[in-house]
Amino acid sequence: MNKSTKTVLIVLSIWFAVLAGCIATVAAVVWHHGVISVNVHERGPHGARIYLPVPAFIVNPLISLAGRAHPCDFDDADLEVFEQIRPAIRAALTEANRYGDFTLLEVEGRDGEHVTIQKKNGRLELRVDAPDARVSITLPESTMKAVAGAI
Amino acid sequence: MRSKVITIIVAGVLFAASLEASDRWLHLRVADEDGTRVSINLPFSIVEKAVPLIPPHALRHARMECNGERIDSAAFRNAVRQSAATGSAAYDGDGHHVVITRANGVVSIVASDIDGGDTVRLRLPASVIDPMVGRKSEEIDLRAAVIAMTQQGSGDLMFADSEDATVRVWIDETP
Repeated sequence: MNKSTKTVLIVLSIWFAVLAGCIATVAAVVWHHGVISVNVHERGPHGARIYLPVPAFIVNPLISLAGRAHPCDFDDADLEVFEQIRPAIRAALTEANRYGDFTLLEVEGRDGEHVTIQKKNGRLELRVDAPDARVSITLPESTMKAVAGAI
Repeated sequence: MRSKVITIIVAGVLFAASLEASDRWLHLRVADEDGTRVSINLPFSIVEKAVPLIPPHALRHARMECNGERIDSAAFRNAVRQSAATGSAAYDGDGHHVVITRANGVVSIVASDIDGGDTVRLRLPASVIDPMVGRKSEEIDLRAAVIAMTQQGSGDLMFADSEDATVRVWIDETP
């Protein structure tokens, strides 16, 4: 093996090591913060299926930024009421994060719709089971904390 | 050895007390005549921590309605206060007739439509409704009622039914 081949191999080895390190770091960050997932399944023979996983570490900072933004769509009276109850909402969300699995809301509609919001394995799950489609949205604990912090 | 046993017993009692304080759940069930069912289960500590943070004036726009008609808060307040003294009270509101009776610490309110429409029956503990119409307040104080609920033990908090729906709110130890 000549010297130039050795150099190329060393550079390639370093490059792969750095790449593996980056991938491992991103995987660790994704694992730590969790994944927000949206799953839509239309019923019927040609029903569409959509699965959209989004790493929470991308969304959580945006939630924090959104919390600092001034919501222009609300009038001053609504904002005043919100400001007054903001500490209560924050306390409620923070307290909810302390609990294990539980079903917060369950609705059975007259036309067969079934909606549940539950905390399961540290994640908040929203499930809508309707005659024409099934939708589930899952938020990891880090996103719930980001929402509580943003409020 | 004896001090260890006493320490373990004290720790056990304190642990049990902490479970009592934090493991209560607030449940709400709504059943509509069209088949719709709504169920809400909330750790009671959320209510205990969040409600006191709501400023009293934040709920000043809250109001009660019966069959879409706004309930006159002054007349309602006076009737509840009167029922505390006499055991029962009644008044005619805007399109509805309200009868309030008390027995065994439970207040029953029956609001019926004067035009023969729906009748709403409501039962809740006196210890919850009395703070709503406290002497200091000229409005119906919903915040005081919710704080009174947080001081209630396990059991039924409210039961309401009408021709088309029933609502039950209670506290227990199961999620």
